[in-house]
Amino acid sequence: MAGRSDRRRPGSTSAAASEHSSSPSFSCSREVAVVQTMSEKVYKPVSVPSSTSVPQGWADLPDDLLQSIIVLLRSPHETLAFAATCRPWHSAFVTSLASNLFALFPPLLLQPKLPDGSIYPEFFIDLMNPAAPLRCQFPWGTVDKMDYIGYSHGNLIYSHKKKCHLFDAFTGTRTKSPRLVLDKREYPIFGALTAPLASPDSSLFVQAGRSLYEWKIGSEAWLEQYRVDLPIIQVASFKGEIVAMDYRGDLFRVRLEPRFTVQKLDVAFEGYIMNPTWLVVCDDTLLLVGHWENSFHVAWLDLSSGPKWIKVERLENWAVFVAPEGRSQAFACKNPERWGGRSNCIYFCGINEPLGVVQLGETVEPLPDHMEASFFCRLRHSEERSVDASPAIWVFPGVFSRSQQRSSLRCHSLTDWLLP
Amino acid sequence: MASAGSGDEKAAAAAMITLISSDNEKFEVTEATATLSQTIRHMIEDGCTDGGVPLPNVTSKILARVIEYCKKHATAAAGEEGSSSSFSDAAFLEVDRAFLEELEEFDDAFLEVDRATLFDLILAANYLDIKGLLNLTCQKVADSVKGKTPEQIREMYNIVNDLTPEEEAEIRRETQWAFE
Repeated sequence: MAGRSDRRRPGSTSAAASEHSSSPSFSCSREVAVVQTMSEKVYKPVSVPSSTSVPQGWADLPDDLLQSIIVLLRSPHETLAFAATCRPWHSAFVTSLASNLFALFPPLLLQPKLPDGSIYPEFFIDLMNPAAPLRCQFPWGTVDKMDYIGYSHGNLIYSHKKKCHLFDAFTGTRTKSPRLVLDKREYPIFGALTAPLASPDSSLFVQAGRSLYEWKIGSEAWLEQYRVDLPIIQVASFKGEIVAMDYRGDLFRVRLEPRFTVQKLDVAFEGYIMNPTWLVVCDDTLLLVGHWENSFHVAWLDLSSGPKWIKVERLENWAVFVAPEGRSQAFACKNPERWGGRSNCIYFCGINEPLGVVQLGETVEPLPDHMEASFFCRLRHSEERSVDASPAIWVFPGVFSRSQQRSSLRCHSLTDWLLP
Repeated sequence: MASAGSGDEKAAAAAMITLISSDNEKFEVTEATATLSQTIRHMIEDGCTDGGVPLPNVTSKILARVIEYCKKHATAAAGEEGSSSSFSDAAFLEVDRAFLEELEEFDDAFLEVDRATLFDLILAANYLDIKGLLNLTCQKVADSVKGKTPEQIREMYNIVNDLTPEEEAEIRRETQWAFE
């Protein structure tokens, strides 16, 4: 009967919905993630009223009740306004980040250029309110001479003269790495953060040539390196592990402690082919999104009997967001009907064309005059230097980022499937 | 469907439960109504409802409202069960839709309360573990925040800002993009 009440009031059951996945293929055990955000570090612990004392006012509502309200808020703005009222409400917001709060909302589209090619005046497009673009703190002028190498945890990552520059598109904060020691002909082609910048276990890892390098944020130097055959294009946090994917679709397990190691996983594709491009985490499921000819394809990582990519026929109550820049982060949003979006759909953004939405499995029809500009023709990976310093990508404010405590939550099943 | 609903009512009428509010007022309700509360359902299952169920955290004023909600939704649940076997029947679907609309109107009217009452209803729904009512009341709070600044929310809910200037500055730095 839950289906009926869903239709009646789309938002009203989401608190319950966030408790368990509805799709059998997406159902995995829930894990507890430990949140470490900048905000958490700033605030002193707040005393939560014990169950025996009766709350006297709205600020005293128990944490779990405040969290029930937070998951029903309908936009990131409302969530941030709610969190900024007082300490207990902020504390409930920080706690609720552990339950994948950002899957409740669509990401924002950072689209620096208008369809006619002119520079977009530094705005985010909010799918929930496309008519009111949000001001972006992004220094487009500064990055014009730099190479885009990736995006993660709210930061756009650029390289310039063998240094890496991280720009938080939402706060304008800039972080600069030490200089990488590289051969003359080598330059960074891919970069990703392993955790939010403020998190103590945050590292930037970068590929240049055939080597991977790690920089622990705030440290003096690049630490270690590791040889890989092909360019890495995606990094995702999954069940406490960091997984990376190269542009042929090979999957790696990355560990930073006790030392930087990258190990290839033995993952099989079962009976179908696609060009793998993006990794995206939906609750406890790792999805691989790619394409074959002119439609998107999705597979999920089955770890039950040796890792396999199993084809996903329906995304159920999820929508996935991808950008043509292969080194961008893909996002997943649960119950998109909450904000007027569509389930089982892929949202894809372009440079010279407006946003597209297509159901999983449907063919993406290129615009009649833009055959060569079709989304899949413009897909770019890191094997070549980026031609565009300001690609259109999906972003999500870092204030919603969470990090997982790596040590206690590792997915032990990955260890069994490492290639020698 | 209406007859199916009242049939269920009659069947359940044999088992009546007495709920006792914090101010010692007694409310007699059917088991179907009472068991919308998981807390009371468990008490019934454990067989400890003889002599009434004391609810020291709920006043008579709030308990009356909660019972009003449960009565309406218990009837709805009975109606849904009765019609589920023939859900393909167009006539049933029609009746169903009308009933759902009525239920929605009921919920909307039910939420026309002042903030103090809403606060007590949320606490009661939480204590009694009535999922539907908890969702409904929490959604009311969530909806009220729409388009409001933190200051407006504080005013609305009578919240004292206990953040230090440093904490507020940090929040502002992180969230400025959303409020410009």
